[in-house]
Amino acid sequence: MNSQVEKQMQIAPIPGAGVDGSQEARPGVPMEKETPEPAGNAHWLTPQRMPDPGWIQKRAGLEELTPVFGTTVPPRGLSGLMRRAAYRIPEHFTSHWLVLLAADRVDVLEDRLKTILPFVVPLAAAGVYFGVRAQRRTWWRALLA
Amino acid sequence: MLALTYRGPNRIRVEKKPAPKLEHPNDVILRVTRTAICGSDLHLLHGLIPDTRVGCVFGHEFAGVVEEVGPGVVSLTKGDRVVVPFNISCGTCFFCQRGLTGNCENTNPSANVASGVYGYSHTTGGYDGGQAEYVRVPFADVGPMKIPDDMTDEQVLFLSDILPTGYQAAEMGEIKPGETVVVFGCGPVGLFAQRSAWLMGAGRVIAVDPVAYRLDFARAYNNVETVGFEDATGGDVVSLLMKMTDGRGADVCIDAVGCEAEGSVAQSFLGVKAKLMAGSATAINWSIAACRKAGNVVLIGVYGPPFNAVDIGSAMNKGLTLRMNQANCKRYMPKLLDHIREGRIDAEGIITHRVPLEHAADAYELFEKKKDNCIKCVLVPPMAA
Repeated sequence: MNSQVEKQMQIAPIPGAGVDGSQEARPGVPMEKETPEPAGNAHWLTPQRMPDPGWIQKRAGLEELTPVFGTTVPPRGLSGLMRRAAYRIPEHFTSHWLVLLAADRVDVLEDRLKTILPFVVPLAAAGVYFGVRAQRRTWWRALLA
Repeated sequence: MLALTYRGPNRIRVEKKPAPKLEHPNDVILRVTRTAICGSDLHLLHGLIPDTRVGCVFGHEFAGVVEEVGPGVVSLTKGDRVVVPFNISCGTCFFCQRGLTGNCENTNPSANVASGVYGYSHTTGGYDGGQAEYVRVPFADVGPMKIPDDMTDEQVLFLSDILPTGYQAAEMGEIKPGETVVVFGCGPVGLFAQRSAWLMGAGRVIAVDPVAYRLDFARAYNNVETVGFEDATGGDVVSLLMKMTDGRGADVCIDAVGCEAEGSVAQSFLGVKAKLMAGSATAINWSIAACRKAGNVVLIGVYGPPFNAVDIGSAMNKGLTLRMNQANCKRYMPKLLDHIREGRIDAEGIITHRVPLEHAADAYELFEKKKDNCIKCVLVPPMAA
């Protein structure tokens, strides 16, 4: 240990300073374990597969779905179509990501529309109905005059 | 159940959602007792991560109690308290067997960039996250770690992400005793990277951040030297760091900021506001510039695809070693649990706010806008007790 480190240890900036100074003390060294072994309590050689619900999108080039995947928020509407198109483009093409980002924005618009449509449609229908009725009255008056 | 759901950029809402179900024999359903907001959740919130769908649940840092157990699970039973790493890993693929559980190839069908991650868009597999009352945990025999009876959930909560992430950052820097380490960012990951640098025998640790209260916290928590943007003439932090390191640069620079770094108007406009690239690369470029020739630069801050304006030419010409990865949490959990036990890392000491899950949107605002000297927000679901 050089003098600079000795000085550092004397100052002890935090409890245990230098305790992981050797490479052997560091759990991620070497980065790739030299003797591969299962992680945790994995008790399978190949994981069992989840059933495919039929709508999970996988990247281009992946022959089949991974054994496990998330099942939240299936693709829907126009944004869903855009996502399907994006996943047909390999991810090393920028267009894959740009289409996905565009689909994200469309998804938000669709969600907003879905939120306001229950209010907007009846209001618009009422507006059209009363507008036409008022217009008819005007026509009748014009005909009778 | 209650869950925090994404409604679009800068819009989130706590609402009722159907509770998750077992979908694979090695799944468990966890009742969440503590969950935290991570800086990388803000990248999702700001719409910077592709394929973030309206209605998905955020949250990749959580601990809880096992409620339901799949028929193939052998190491957990109902009632066990566990902390769950953010990586979803099968345990037996090429990468898991080599300790790289963050690179598992069996849990993310959407992209070849990382393993599955809880609550982090469909780009990382489309899993719901833990900012909810319940969460589905796949490969329960691989990821979750039982919480020792004498420890609280909050003492070990950060083994799920930010503590292993900070530690791995320092480790990837290959710090040798006595070396000078610069850590960009005094958020939770930056704080743990600074602390880990001391544990690995750094001779000098310098922390950089634009926010004064975070620099104060770093000084008090980690006993580091600090550099604020205001300390540097004209905001030129790199020149100040070069001056502090005898004009040579630091041995190791760690970017613990990620894609929303401040400090460059052009980067912030192009990457964060206009979204013409995957966020601002300011912290990467400053790390490259402030590192000595043949030094090590570590990226542990999160960046989304597809590209950033990175000064790769300088990195090449300086002979730098660039290292980066998502944290392989599983590999670090036992070691870091030991550090917590021995008092070398006071992980829960960074919690500044505890907020009921029902008010999660307010907590996001607090964390995002750095109000009330917020360092780390923990959400407490109503069923936590």
